[in-house]
Amino acid sequence: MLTEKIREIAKKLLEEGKIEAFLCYEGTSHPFRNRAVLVKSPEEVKKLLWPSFGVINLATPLQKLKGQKAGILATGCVSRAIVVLIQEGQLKREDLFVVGVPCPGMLDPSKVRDKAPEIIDVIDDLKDEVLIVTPEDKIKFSREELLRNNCQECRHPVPPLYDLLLDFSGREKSPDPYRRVQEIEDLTLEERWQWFEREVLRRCFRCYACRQACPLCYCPTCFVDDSRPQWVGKTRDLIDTALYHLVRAYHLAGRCVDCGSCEAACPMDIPLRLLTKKLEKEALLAFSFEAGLDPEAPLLFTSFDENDPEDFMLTSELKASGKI
Amino acid sequence: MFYAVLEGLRRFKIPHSFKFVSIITLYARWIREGRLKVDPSWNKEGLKVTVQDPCKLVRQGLGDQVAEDLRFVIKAVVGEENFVDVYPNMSNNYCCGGGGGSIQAGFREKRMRFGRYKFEQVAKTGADIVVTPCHNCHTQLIDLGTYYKGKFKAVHLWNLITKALVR
Amino acid sequence: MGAGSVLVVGGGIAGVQAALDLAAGGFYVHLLERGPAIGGVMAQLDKTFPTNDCSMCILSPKLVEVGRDLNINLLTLSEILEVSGEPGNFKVRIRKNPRYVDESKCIACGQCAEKCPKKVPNEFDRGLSQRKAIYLLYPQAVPLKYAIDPRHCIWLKKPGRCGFCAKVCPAGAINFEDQPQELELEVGAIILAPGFETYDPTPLENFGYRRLPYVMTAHEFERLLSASGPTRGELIRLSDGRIPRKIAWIQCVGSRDINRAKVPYCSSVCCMYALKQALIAKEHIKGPFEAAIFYMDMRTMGKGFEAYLERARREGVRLLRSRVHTILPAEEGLLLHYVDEKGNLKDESFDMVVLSVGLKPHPTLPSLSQVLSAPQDEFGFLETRLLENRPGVFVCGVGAGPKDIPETVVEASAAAARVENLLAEARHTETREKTYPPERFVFPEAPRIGVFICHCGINIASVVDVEAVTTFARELPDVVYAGHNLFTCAQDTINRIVATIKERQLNRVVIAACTPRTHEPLFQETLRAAGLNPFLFEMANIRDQDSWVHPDDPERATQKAKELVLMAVNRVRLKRPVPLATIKVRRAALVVGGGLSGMQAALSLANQGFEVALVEKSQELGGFARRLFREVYGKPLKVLAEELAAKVASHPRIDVRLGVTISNVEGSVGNFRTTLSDGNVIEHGVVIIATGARPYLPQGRFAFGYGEDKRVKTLLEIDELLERKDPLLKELRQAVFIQCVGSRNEEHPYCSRVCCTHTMEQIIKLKEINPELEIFVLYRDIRTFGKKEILYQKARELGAVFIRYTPERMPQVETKEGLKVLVFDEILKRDLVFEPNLLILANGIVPDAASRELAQFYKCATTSEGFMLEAHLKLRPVDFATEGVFMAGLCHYPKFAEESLSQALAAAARAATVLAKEDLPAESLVAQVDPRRCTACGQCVALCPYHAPSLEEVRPFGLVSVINPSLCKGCGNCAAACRCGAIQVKNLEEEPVLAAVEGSFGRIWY
Repeated sequence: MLTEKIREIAKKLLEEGKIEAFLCYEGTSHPFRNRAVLVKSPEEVKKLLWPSFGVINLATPLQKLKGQKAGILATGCVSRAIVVLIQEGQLKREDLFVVGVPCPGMLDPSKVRDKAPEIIDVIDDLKDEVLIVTPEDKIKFSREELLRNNCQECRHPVPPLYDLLLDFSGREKSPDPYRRVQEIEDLTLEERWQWFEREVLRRCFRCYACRQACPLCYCPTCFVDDSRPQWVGKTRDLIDTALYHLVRAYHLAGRCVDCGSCEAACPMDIPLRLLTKKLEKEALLAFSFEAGLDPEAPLLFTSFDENDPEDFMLTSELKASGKI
Repeated sequence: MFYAVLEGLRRFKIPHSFKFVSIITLYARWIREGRLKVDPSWNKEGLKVTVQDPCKLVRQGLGDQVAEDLRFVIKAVVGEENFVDVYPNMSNNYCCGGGGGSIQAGFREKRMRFGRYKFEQVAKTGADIVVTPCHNCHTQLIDLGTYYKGKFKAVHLWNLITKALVR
Repeated sequence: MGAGSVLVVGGGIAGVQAALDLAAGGFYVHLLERGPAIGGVMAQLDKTFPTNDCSMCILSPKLVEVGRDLNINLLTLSEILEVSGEPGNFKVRIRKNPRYVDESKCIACGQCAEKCPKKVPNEFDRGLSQRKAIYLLYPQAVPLKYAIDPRHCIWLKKPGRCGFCAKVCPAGAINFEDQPQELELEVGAIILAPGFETYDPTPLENFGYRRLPYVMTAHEFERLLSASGPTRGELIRLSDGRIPRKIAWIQCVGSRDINRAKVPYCSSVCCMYALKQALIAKEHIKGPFEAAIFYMDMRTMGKGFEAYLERARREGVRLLRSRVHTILPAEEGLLLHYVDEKGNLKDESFDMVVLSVGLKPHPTLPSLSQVLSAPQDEFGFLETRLLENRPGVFVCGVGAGPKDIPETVVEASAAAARVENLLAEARHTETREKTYPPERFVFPEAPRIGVFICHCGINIASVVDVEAVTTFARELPDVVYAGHNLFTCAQDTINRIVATIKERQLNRVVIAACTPRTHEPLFQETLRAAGLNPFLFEMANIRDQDSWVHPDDPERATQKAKELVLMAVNRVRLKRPVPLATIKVRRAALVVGGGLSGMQAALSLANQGFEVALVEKSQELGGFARRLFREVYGKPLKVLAEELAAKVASHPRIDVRLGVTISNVEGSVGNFRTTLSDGNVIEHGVVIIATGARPYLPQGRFAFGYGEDKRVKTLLEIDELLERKDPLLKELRQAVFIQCVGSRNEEHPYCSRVCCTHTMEQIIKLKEINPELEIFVLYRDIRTFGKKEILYQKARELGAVFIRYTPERMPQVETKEGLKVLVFDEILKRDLVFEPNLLILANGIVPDAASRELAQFYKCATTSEGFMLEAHLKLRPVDFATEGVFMAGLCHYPKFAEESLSQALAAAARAATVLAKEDLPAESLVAQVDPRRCTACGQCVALCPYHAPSLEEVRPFGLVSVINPSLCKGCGNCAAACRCGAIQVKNLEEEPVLAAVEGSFGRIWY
């Protein structure tokens, strides 16, 4: 089983001194919450497990391990986030030992919790079925139904960067990665704003958990915290909140790997990843660019090609396509 | 012939020891010196007289000086008040269209077409007589007058001088 | 005074350019001008071809610089009495004629002229308007001081009478007792730039000038179009005030005329200026307008000129190849009889006729020539041989022969180079340095802002209510002074600003006027002169961005001006003093290309005392010149090239590197590092690109049998035959030339400039060897411009027959059964067939592909045709827009060898303006990284086009981006890209920008 494989490799790496610490997940007292953990000795590896609910991207805490030679469990999105961090000089490749896992997808705690009033345990077969154990019963669900949204739309379950790839068959690439984005795009302008206001602006109380969870939000002084000049107010005013989310999404354009940590961290279940997913779609369609696949490649905004499309900014083309 | 000799000497740079002068310049000089006495009073009807500047004599020949002399002589023999000039004039005057004589032999239609401007120019002065010291211009102007039904007659300069001679 | 100073005679664009280059090169310049102000004929022009820039806008910054330069002594109203001595040591006696107005007191308020009762014809307006006896030559004159014309002043003629000007002058500047002064100057060299006069067509009665109304010269028309002219630029007929809807231009009035005007040469510029006037007239007139140009040959052979011609055609300017006999009066207009190209007689009436008058030597030239013993040529212009007239005396501009402004500017710089060559040892011996008072430490002070609002004559004030804007500005918080003035850039206003800054203890300045591009450096200097850091300054553009674009809405334009001022005030309040940065100059040059231009430039710089590295990709110096057999300055070009090569190779300061190309370039002006293909690195301060061009190889539609039949040859091949006196030439019966092979077409939409002249030279040589040779020339326009027209006349006299063809009906060449050339003769209206023994193709010049790549190394631009793109087609013809990089020779554009040599000298003079200095001002407003906010993500490093940022370890922050201020140009790309907000450009930080945005909404921002 996957957990065994993980413990085995972690133990080996620590014993051989190849790494100083291994970053992975452990279980908690709660049936559908897993927690990131850093083990520093071979004895501790028994804590580690394959997280069915490993919803926070491990690349975020990885950045705190600068200077240490660290091992990390990396699914597709974790690995891609590491690639972007290497491209942006935040991580050094030689300091890492990446244990890659072709990801079967992870389950969404907020989908599970609605299924029964009291849940004792969740048994995930990592293939098709999930059993939710209540005091009375064991209810069967299809794995797909309880999967995280970003896992359902995942295009890179296999990590592009790894030192070792565990032998496991994970998910296939999603055939319809922009389904939810398309749903919003199909709304009228009015409806879209209403969606935004309802789902995002009225719920958000500016806790910044999304920002803290995101592996790519690492600026020492976030734009939100600037006071001279103050770009964004810190209030719950709809405009302030809108500005915060939109600017943050743009700061992630061409960088976001859709790990879903932002949504998972949000206490108000705001569908945050859709904002950045839309930009991911734009980058792909306009520039054939996907973030986090090749550490040697240039970033989206530092590369320039004479053939880059301009139809999105030429008035004549925008008029012709009915966009304005 | 005047022009042929003049230009031949100039173009082929033939050395010569004689001076080349137009009779008109001599007329003008003699009238000024009083050696050629003329009196315009014969022009009792007040015939209006205008002038043609032949290309080979003036523009391509001896220049504005001879054209000035020409006008001086004409004014002296017909009376200054009876002289009306054309415009443009002197070195800038229009060609009569007679081709320096080369197309007098035939080409009547073309000749008349080429000479239309000259006809209009002379007719506009309202003159009865146009004086021309070139026999090619003379023929051409007479033909033009007939063809376009003008009222003027072309006359050689010496004709008028004889009329004005003081006996 | 002596060898370290130079006398420049003539205050037109040539004199001004030469003076500026010399002063920047370390010499003291006496700039002598006959009239009361500098500017010359260029100041009288409205727009200039081919850029259609406003003449005064591009000229006045140079004039202002001359006025302000400490090392240029402006001697107006002066003339030369006597010259003695020798090169390096001339003594010149000058008479400074009295101005009758004290220059140190006059504030150019204009009260005197208002009160003066004597009206006289205004010569600046070519007599189209009147001025007073006390006058300003033109509104933007330098120096901006009035002068009294002694020929017309009532008091000066009869003391005691009038004198109103002295009574009303608020500065007490009128001085009727002013006397001529005699000065003696000691100078090392003299440059003559006497300029020209235009031909007076009065003797040509057929054109009716001064006889018929509505006929004017092009020179007068230029004044009519000018905003400073008699009608403020409104195009109307002066006699009756009506708008002319149809204007005809008649070319070659007083040029190319051996019979009547007796001026045999071509004036070079009239075809272009007529096209320009036609296009500009169209802009001025609202409603229907037709322009027709009657010409003989359309001479648009300069850079960008052929494209200008095409533009004129597209915009509907009618071009009629016909010579008009006489202008006849018509009802309310003029009548032109002419024969069109089809042979039909036409009568057409026009509302106005403009005579394109030629250029002739200025009437004062003969006396100047006498005083200086400077020989004149047969046309009355001054003789020159590579710009030298006689030892130590150099000539540039139209004074040496008719030419356009770009050529004039090149010659002016070239003359400066020759002087710097001669006087190299005396550089910096007589120049002065500008000193400034110490900078006030404003940091602890509360902001005290001064706002100065400009009328710009009528440019701003005719639309914007300047008073209202001033009142508005006065009420803004922290504004302690607000005032308005007529011309902020005028010297007296500048002085008042300095005084105001000191009096009111201002520590921030806003000037609401034109674009920073014209006068920002001047205003920043003004702050320095008042003891303020020059960056505590902001300009509000209420001219180009307000009054000029909203002339129909003065109310809203005034409101906009107020908002622009508020924005500027908000911005300037947050500005901080920035120290002035300098770069140390590496006083060595790199010349790329060892051909004629490269060698000449290298030699000039080396003779001026600078170290030069000359890089050539082939194994020998000399370039194409080694294969040309034309004669230049009496020597075959081949010999000249060999001589130059020998001089270059043996010169102690020239380091020649053969067989190498450039593989990498780093750095910027003053500090370049060029890596060669052999790995060696050259460090230098400037670079001159002289990489040449290639002859066009006849091919495709323009092959005309070349390569198929050996009787078809190019001009260069014929040169070779002539050189070796090939016996074939004596046996020829008939030769045909085809002009414009490979030029003036879609692939090469430009004129190659030299081919027509080359053809004439060959015809003359061929006829010498073989007088019976029949020669036919198939041409589109004959472009033997300037004095080269004489060659065309000679070729015709020798019996060459010229047959015109149009690009729609190209000559056909058949080689299958013998050599046949078929052409449709436009005049005979028949097809002609020639069977010549020799078909000579006048092939053009095409740019070298390698040059394009080289230009990219130095971050320079090329034109769409592939030639190097200069910073400004008219006034900066040898500079690239990138500082410190210059060009010379064929890589710029096809030209004659003489012109290449001139341009090479000009490039050397321009390069010397950098090399003569120890340090150059660098960009002070550079980007800076706040290491506390930087995460070393590397985006700035990847984006910067100048490679200024790099990631470095900086304690205690760790790895952060550090920006090299000497490489940074302040473009702001990095600042925009930095997500963490760690990069800001000095004085262009986010705060002042946001403050300005808030200001545009009418909000104050602290």
